[in-house]
Amino acid sequence: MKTSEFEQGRNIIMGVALFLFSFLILRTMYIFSNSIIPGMSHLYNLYSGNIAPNIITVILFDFRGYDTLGETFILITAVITTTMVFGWGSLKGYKKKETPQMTEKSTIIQKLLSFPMSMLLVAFGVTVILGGHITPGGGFPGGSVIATGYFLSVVIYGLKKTPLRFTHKFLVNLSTIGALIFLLTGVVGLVFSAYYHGTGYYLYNTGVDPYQIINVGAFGWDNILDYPDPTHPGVIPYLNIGVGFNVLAGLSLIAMFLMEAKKDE
Amino acid sequence: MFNSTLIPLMVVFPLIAAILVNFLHKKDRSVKTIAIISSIVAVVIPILTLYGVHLFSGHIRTESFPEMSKLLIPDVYMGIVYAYGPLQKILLVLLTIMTVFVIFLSLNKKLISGVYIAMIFISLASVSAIILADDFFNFFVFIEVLTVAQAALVIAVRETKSHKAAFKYMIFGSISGGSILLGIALLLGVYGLLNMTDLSNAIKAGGALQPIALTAISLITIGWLYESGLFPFHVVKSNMYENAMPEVAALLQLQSKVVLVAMSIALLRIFSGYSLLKSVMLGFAIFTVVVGSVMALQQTDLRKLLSFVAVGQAGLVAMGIGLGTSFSISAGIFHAINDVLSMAILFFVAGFIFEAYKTTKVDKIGDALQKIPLVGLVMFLATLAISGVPPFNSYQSELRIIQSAVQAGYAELGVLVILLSVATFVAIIKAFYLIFMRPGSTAEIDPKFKGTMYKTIIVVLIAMCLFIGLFPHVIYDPIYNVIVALGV
Amino acid sequence: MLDKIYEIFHDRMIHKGKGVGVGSGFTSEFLMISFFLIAGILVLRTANSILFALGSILILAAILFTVPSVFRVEKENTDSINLTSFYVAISIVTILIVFFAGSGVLI
Repeated sequence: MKTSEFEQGRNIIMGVALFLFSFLILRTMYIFSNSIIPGMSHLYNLYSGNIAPNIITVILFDFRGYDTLGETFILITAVITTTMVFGWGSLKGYKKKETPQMTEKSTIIQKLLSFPMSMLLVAFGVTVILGGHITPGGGFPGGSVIATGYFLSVVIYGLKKTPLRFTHKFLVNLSTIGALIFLLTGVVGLVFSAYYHGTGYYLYNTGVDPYQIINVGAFGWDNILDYPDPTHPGVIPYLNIGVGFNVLAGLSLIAMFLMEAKKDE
Repeated sequence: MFNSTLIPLMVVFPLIAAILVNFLHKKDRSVKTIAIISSIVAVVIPILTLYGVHLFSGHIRTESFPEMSKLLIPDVYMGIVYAYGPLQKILLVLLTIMTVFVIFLSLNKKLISGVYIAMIFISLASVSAIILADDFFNFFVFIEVLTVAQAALVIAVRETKSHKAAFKYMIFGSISGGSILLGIALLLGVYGLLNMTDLSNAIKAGGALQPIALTAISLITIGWLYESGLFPFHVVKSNMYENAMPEVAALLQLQSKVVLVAMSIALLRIFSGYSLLKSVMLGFAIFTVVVGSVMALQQTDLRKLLSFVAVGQAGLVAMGIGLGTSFSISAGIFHAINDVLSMAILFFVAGFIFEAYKTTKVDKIGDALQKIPLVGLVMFLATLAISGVPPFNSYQSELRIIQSAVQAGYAELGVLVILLSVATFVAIIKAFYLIFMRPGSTAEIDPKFKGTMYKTIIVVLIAMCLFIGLFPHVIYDPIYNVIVALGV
Repeated sequence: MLDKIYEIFHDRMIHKGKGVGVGSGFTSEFLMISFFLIAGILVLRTANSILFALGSILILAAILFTVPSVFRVEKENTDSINLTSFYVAISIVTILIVFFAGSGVLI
């Protein structure tokens, strides 16, 4: 049914209904501010100090690390879905198309400035990823910053001439490596806690060992997978790096497919 | 070693398989090997694992400092928790076995890619997580992964209609996902908890529900309607089933029924003292049952017909759950399991017909019983099974739903269930007659297509249906015990 | 109306298979009418207020006048996004109102 055939009365009913809905939601939000309690947040603040300095990162990658794994997989699935829209991996086969010739539209200032800027963005993104456990940041923002740098140089110079060039295969590999770092770090925690404690815990922070279950055992080491850093955040930086790889590769892959797409798609 | 340690592997192992298969997307043989081995391992893990509770990152139950954190219960789970019990085991074994069948059928196709198989694995992992999760936010995260992965499976067909269906599915998915997340956020703000067991205890301790919690329930109920494909979203859902490849449609209907069961149990556990929720569930379920079967009777395409039947049967499951007694809830869950099996046979038959004739329009195909007699026989038996004829499994569960409706004081609903069975039977037997018995066919059968895998799998499935129909207590009793123990 | 019902169904359902189509049309019409009857009886029996019961009888009478209701239902269930979003909006508000009014909370 087209919009023009749609009865006008229904639009009015729908409008009234959505008005009521938004009124009730906004009213709930208005009284919500009086009844918020600290709850789990208080407990997380209490316990997270002995894992890493940045409490948000500790909540994100330790207390709710497994949720972050799920979030990473939302990103991976969304990227694959986007590429599937362009025919990659579909049931009718994928034909590699000629990269469309970019018409020269960039000005001289853009050309002069965008490469140094994208290099700066990449460097900044690496800093944000590696400093995720001490300063605000982490894998998600850092990876997107690097992807922004790639996007900038691709938009200005075109897919063929860009100085910051990733191939399709490289990005898929990077995404795979990022996801595997996260998944396998969890398996390492599972295996070591099962070995020393009897019951395994997935994503157990073997570097920090908050519950003292990994003794100096058969291998003669205490902190498996501890990030060499004065704050001793354990596996958190590795997880950050994995997420960073993943986000960087995923967003750049989407950018690449969008640049390759023709107008009729 | 086989204690609660293995529980996260039910989710993590399919994810690792998905990543590897996606990585090797072009190398045909290695994709096949990895897919077959990992799908078989995925079946083995739930069978080996013992019942228990898995604490992620090792965070144990700790004191909650009620005077500072204002929590209503003295101790809480700190991290994410997965709970694995008899009900989860039955659902997971069913899910993994069906996924193995679908993967085997999909691997036989030409031009199958690792990316497609990866999506099947990701959807398997996320449904497993939804079944296991005892944490509301983790539940939400994997519901989102599932929505996107299902859309990808439909997009992969690469026809205009399938793109449209997936697009609509994603649009309404954003509405439902947003409302579930807002509901969870409101509950977190008011009660300060995300763990379902703790949340349930806190809500019981808190007495009457606050207005904010009422908004949260309404928002989560909207998400529940979408995820299970009930009334306002039934068109979107049936559109998805119709435009996917038929064997993947079998997987999609399986996933939405399992999510329906898991999410209903989660809702009933958290808001156990709130009876209005059950009435709302029941109301939408009745509407879905009627609309689904009426729409199924109008269709002339086998795939479309089966998708509306699947939606109507999901309504029947929700009706059992919405009646709200222990007997009816376990009958509803039992019906979900039975219906998934017989519906899958019908979708696989549709897949066979689609491969053989390149169409599923019932008015184009005819005389098929002479060419593919075994498939016709199995489809006839599956039709009997799904409409609740005695030796088969759905008879046992529909009988229990009718009994529980009478016991709960709604005898009229029993009549409605019988009418639904009649309508389902008429709808499918019409398609059966037109495809298999009507003389004169305009579509030609593909002489090269053998479909041995299809035939084996549908025979195995009909045998499973017959087995459950003859020995219903193997499946039904554990479910009933779990539901009684939950006390919802 | 009721004496012409076979002709109506025959005209509308003939393209969905001769004989079988009309049969399935009749089945679905039967299902619709009995659903409304059952729903009416259920509301009548469980509702304690006379006003509610009278209202349900009126609705039932109104429905019985629109006898080939199947085609109407079919039209309302096409895969158009407008119709779906209309019903989604209605359902969302129904759920909210039922929960708030049923719990006696006036926000």
